[in-house]
Amino acid sequence: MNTPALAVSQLFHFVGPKRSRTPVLEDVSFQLERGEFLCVMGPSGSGKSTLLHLVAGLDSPGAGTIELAGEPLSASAPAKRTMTRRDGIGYVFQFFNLLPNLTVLENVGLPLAIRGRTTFEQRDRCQGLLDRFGIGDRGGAFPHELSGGEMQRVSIARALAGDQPLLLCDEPTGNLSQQAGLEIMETLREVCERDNKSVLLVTHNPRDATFADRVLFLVDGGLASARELAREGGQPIAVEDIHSVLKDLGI
Amino acid sequence: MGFVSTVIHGSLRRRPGRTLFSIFGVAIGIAIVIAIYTVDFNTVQSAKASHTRNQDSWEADLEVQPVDDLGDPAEELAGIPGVRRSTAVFKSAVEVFALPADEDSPNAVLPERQKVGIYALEATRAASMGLYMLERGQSMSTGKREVLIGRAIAEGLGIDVGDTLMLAKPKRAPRKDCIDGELVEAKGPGRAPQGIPFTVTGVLSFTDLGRTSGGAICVIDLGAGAELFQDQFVRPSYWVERDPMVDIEDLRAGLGESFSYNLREGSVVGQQADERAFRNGVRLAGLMALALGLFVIFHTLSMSLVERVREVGILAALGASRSQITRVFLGEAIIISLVAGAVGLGGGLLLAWQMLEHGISSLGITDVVRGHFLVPWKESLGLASLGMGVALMGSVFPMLRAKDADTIRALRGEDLEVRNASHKGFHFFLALLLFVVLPVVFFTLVPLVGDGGKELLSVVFLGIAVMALLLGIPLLVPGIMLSLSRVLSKPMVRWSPFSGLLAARSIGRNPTRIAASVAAIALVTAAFVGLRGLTGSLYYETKLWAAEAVEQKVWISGLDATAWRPLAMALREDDDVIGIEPSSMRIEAPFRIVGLPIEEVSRYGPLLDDERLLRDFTSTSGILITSRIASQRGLKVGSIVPIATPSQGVKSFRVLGITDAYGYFNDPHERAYGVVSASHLENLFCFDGDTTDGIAVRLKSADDLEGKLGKVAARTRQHLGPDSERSRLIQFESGSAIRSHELFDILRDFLVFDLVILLTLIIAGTGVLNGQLLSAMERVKELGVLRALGADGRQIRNSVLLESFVIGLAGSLIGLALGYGMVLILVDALKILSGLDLPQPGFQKTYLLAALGTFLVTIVAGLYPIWRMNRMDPIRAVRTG
Repeated sequence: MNTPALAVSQLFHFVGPKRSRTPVLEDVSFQLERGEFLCVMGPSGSGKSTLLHLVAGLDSPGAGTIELAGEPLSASAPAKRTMTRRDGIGYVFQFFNLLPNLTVLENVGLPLAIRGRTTFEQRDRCQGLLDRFGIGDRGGAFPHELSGGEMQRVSIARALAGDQPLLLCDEPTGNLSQQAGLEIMETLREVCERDNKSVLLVTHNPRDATFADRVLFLVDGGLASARELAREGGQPIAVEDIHSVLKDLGI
Repeated sequence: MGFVSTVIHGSLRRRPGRTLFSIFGVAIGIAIVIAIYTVDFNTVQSAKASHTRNQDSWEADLEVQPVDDLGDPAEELAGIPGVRRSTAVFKSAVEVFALPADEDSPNAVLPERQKVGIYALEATRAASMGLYMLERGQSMSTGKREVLIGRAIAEGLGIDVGDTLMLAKPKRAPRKDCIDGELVEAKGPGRAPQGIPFTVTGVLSFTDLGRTSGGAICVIDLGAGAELFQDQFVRPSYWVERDPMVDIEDLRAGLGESFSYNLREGSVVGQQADERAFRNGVRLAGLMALALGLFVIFHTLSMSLVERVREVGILAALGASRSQITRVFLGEAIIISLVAGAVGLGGGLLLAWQMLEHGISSLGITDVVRGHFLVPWKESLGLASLGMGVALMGSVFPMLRAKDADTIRALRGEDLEVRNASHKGFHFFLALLLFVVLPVVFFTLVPLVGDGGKELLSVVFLGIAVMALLLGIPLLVPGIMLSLSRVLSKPMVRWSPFSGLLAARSIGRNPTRIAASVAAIALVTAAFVGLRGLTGSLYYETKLWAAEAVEQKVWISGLDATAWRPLAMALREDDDVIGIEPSSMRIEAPFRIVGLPIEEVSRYGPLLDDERLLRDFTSTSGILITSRIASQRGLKVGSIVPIATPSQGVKSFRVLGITDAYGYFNDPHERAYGVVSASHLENLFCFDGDTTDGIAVRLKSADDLEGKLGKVAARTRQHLGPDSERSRLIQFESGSAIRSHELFDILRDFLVFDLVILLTLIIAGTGVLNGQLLSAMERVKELGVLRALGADGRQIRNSVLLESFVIGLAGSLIGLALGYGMVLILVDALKILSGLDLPQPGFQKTYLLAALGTFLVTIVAGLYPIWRMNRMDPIRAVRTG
């Protein structure tokens, strides 16, 4: 049996002081298979970003387990989680989070540089990624010289540069125009299929969710597991179906 | 490039302003302290070299002569603090010649005799004092006929270790002694006809004593000297090796009434009380610059980390480990520190060189230091390393805290914990700086000198306490700044609703940064005020002295051995002239002693007012001393001043009074001296009391001094013959001119302090600028949003100007208040250190000017951040994540 790329089991997370802590995530369990594109939808404040932070190992859950390719992440020490994140996870942020002081090429090369690869070693791979995403001529530019769509494509290129098997995407189109958002989602779908990457997308945009293989709905910190949607016969999930579930869930 | 170097490179390249100002802040702090140390080092070195150049030969640092009734001078000396070792010494001349090969032969040729200098010393003690070094051979033994010879004798006579050398008293004209004012031929034996054979045990190397008389020198044991010179041998002097850890004033006090002494000027350069006070003042100013420089360094680098907290979050999210993030910031700090250290070192040495070229020394303005530039590499590199070390500390401590920050909050830009960590870093750093680094640096640079160091110690710790008060309170209690912002926000918002609100919020949000800037400006203002207070006090003291010593006098110089009594009679025909002081009778050991005729000085001043004083001055061995020498030597009425005479041993003079009314002459300027009756110097030193090269003319009043000077000049020329050569060469100077020169000298000498504090002000300004710039960078998104919402450049500019206004106003006012308090302390401290009778100057207008100046610099420091903020693209600011 194939080990899933990501396995989240009975995950709980709380905020606030111990005695009066508020649950942000409650009993969240799901699996992400290798090469699968999974979307978690939910309104603002539903705990989507918290879920991503926990999966990325940026924070420790209150309870439950997270396994990356069968390796437990949640119980690891911070240093181990950092290493797991470095080798196993690419991150795409809503606000791009490119380092303003570095050029596009340098930003893309950061995950490799963090692993100790030299600029010379990075160059071909980073340039290749930029070419692939249609921004090959912007390698010497700084982030502020790019459009929003270009910045997010740089962000995706950076997430892929380290060749990590899992891509976490936090509202990647939330800060982009309709057209740019569409292009980004097509890019992510292509990455998933062509590079066999597992993608975990959190969003509240139904259109973005149609690019996923499966869609989970997160409401008030808990998964509405009965309402999960999935591609059937290779056909994308219909946006109407998503709207329908959202309506049923009162979102 | 690897990860660390990529991020560092990007950060330094894309933040040129922050990088350059950080480097500038660190470099200027390092440069100032290196410049001051180098200037001080060269000041002392060049002064010593100057004294050495003026000497024909080697001279002991301190030579003393005991009074006649002193039991065992060596034992007495051993008990005096500051005397490490001593040896009795007898100096004379001797004829030397090699023993003829066959002296009994009737055909033997008389050997060639060479007249050389000879020193008879206590063999064992002299060797232990390191007075000489041997090129070869060994030292002479006690009581034996053994001799050490200089290189010139060895080479001239062709003799070496083991040879026999004949020593004979030279044939010379009978010695004349000054007995009761008459030069009397002294009784003494003729020369020893045969000479005495001495065995050469060593050849002196051409250093120290061996350099004397160009190496034509013999050194023998004191016992052998007594035998050689027999009844000609008089009581010896003593050469003393000083303990450098003991204050020179304590040593002088110890020698007190039992010894007359001659202290070689070059050996105590910069160690006299007033010189030490001045040098320590310069060093304290440098220390303050260093403190402020280090403070700015810490401030800049730690604030820069706060600004970059989000970057930490992104890097952590991308998988960068803590050690990698640490290496990024540490690497950046190392690069900034190294470049700044190199620039600071080079700049400091360049600054020192320029200061010396312009005659600016740590002893005031002087020509002696021009063209003299040595680099104290060890100390300079040490100081540069210290600056670099603190720069690293400035980034490392907050960074250690920052790397524990919550990555998620950092990604969201919630940097509160890091900011708090940075604040704690400030406090830790401040404590370390004030109570560990600064005292260590100060006492490394300024070695304590005996008991005199106690005052220095208290002054330094007082200074540290003031700085702690100044810097610590607002930093430890940021709430003060929050309260200040609340108080100020209302009038500011009323004045300009938008800019005022923005400024008030900025102040309220960054209490530590604002407090640090306020403290820096306050520190510089306080320093300026303190300096103005000190110069004001010295000014006032000089005016008081001038009122008594010079304001009712005019001086005539260039008289060239003119009979002064007839001239005095001629001048006294003018009713304004009441007394004449001839300048020619003076000796310089143990300090300047001037002989003045009683019949003249009794016409004015204390000798006119106090009959008993006049009687004692006339009938006893009494001396009047000036207030300066009284303070410096701790002399009081009744103290004894021993004066060595050429023929009558050491004579004791009792201090009868302390007054500046008599005996000041401006060639060279010296306010520390004593006055005795001219008859004493005539009797003891056989001075010619009838002629003089210059005179001081005492007038009835100081009114219209220049007009009276004209009259004196006319009468003098008339007396000397209007067309005579002598009339043409004489020069006149009024007391008011001397007073003006003295006052000008104070300002000129204190220029070095102005310069240092001006540089410190630049550091403080850089600190303010860095703070505001970093604040602007930190708020880039907020400002972008504000611009996007319609705020114009003027509104943004006004908000920064308001912030600068608050910093400048608070800093200047706090500095003014603290500076005024510091003046009271500093004047008292300088009184103790220098022995000057300094008055408190009161509130001066210049204090307000100093405060205004620092306030304006704060406003100017805000201009660059304004320029940068107005250049920000609002779209970019909003879009760049």
